[in-house]
Amino acid sequence: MAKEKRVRVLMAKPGVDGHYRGMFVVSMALRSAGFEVIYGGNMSPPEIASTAAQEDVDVVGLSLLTGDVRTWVVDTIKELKENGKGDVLLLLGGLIFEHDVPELRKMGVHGIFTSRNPLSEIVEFVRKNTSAESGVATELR
Amino acid sequence: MTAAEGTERQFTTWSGIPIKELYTPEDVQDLDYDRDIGFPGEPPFTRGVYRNMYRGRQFTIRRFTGVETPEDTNQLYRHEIELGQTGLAIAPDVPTSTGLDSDNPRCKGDVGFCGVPIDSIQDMEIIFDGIPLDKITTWTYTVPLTAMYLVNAEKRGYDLKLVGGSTPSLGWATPSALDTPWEVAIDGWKRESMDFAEWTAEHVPKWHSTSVSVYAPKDNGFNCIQELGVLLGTAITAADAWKERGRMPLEVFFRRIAFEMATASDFFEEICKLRAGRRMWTKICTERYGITDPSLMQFRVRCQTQGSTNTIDEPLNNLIRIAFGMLASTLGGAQSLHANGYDEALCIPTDQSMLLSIRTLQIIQEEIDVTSTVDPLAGSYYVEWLTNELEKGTWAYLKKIEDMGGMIAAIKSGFFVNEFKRANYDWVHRIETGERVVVGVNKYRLQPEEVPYQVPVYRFEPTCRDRQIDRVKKLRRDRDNDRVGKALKELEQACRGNENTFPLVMESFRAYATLQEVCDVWREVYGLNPHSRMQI
Repeated sequence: MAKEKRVRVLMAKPGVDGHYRGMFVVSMALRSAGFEVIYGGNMSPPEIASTAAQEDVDVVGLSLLTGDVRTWVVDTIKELKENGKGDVLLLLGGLIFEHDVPELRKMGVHGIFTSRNPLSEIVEFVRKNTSAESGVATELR
Repeated sequence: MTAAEGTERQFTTWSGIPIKELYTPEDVQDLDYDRDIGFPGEPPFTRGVYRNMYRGRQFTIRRFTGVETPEDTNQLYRHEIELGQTGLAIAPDVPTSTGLDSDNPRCKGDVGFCGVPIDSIQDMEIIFDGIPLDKITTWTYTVPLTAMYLVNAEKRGYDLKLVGGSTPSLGWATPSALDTPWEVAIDGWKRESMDFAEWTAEHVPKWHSTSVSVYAPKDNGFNCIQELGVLLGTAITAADAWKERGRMPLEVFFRRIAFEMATASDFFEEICKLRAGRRMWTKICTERYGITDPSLMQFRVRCQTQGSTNTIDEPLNNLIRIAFGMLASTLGGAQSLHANGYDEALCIPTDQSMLLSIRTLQIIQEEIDVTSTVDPLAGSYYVEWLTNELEKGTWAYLKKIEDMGGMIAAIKSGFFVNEFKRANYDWVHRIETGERVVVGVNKYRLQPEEVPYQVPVYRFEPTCRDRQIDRVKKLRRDRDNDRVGKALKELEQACRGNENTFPLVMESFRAYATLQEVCDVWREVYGLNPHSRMQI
């Protein structure tokens, strides 16, 4: 029997902000749910994309609190595409303005979470939109 | 719930102290009024640092603010003063608190977003334009920003002896770049804060230069015992370092020390921690350092409502939380308060929430008569008992820190990073499991469309970044770069030697060196703090 490939998630915080709690607790929750979490910490968009490619991740989670969400998301998506990782399941969490949500979805962010969402919802979202065997995100593609 | 069920439920404070149903004289029978409580303005200061407390001097209304550009921040500060705010506190954007310039590609999306960008004294000049620096005191976040503030004051012709403010130069325990300014290794940070404190003691005597801050750890879930432990542990380590350097009398250090804490939701614990802190600091001053002058034992404290206690759900509920928190800090006897904007969980404060937070503090000061008498809760069986319990718990936590070799050793060992992570996790866990009720979040929760109101949200203007980047680039072209290079070289030599580095930091800024250029010298000499970017 082929060894089951676990779904791999890169968690990163674009820029230099030091509000880590969101990224930390979401990482812990995904890890305890059985996902393989690569905790990138603060990273630039090119670093996020090259790590996503090297580690062949299925999911990229971005955590933003004090930064300009649109700037970081645009740059990160551009870099992901250039690194051949434009097909990852892209999650965004933190302090996200409601008025930015439609535009962020249009840019290609699949899941948007704020402190309103219990951790279980995030875990469920990742589970539902990835398949453990192939590690490939389904449904939202 | 029936009465029988009620008796089975466990009640504890946020820091885990079990709470009894009722407190009586028996719970405080060992208390000796003169020894343990005493009179305000006298050791052990349990009842307050000043004799008549708020009757003689109201707490300072000092909100931590800054927006988008130096120009906008100048307008904001003028407006705050007009509304009756009595102190200023600079909230820099994240690149500035990290010691990076606005044109650094690492911080492209962070410039001006949640605070004011400050790249050089040019920006500091704009921020404080027209604001009388001898009439208002300012909290300046980091030592390099303080240097810029003082250079600006000097350029405007003020006698630095009349300029007052404070710098949380001793926030050492925070494993986050937010409070480890410019990510420099702890030995560099310690050196910088000591040099700064010595220099200001002589030249800016009104400055609270050795302010210990524990806001960030508390905001991330530290409880009151951990909070007090870190605060006092850091103060002890800093006092020891001062003594070891032996350049100035210990009394100078104690004269200028101040403390900064965060106010969470446990009303009585937030009150009692300030009472316990004052009594413990008195004991530390007298028993550990042999201080005899009572005016050197005062635990002066600033409190800020803890941002993490505010919710994105039903944001107006935060107004109530903030008012209760600030009431607790007032009843506890704080010297300076920051009431958050109720929209803290949504955005930086709008004009509406700024006005409300200033008004919250003014109502506490002047409308509800809680400041008419000193320490009105003294003598309450519960309050005195809880003050004792917090003190006991904190001594045990301090012992743990001492056993690790003091704060610096504990930080280097990674102990506080782990404490930080555990606190982060526990906080969320308690809310997710419903162990701690947060109204409107894990109980009585409404769907967003069921909330019958919306609040205005601050909208960020992204062009502010371009203007800031242009300004810093132009500065680097126009200034006397030879003078900058020379100043930075001398700073580097000082960092590698023993002389006081602070005058050279000031000289670099006088020459219009940028913040990052100065911080890079420290990073180069001392290396980076491995814990400034929390890893798992």
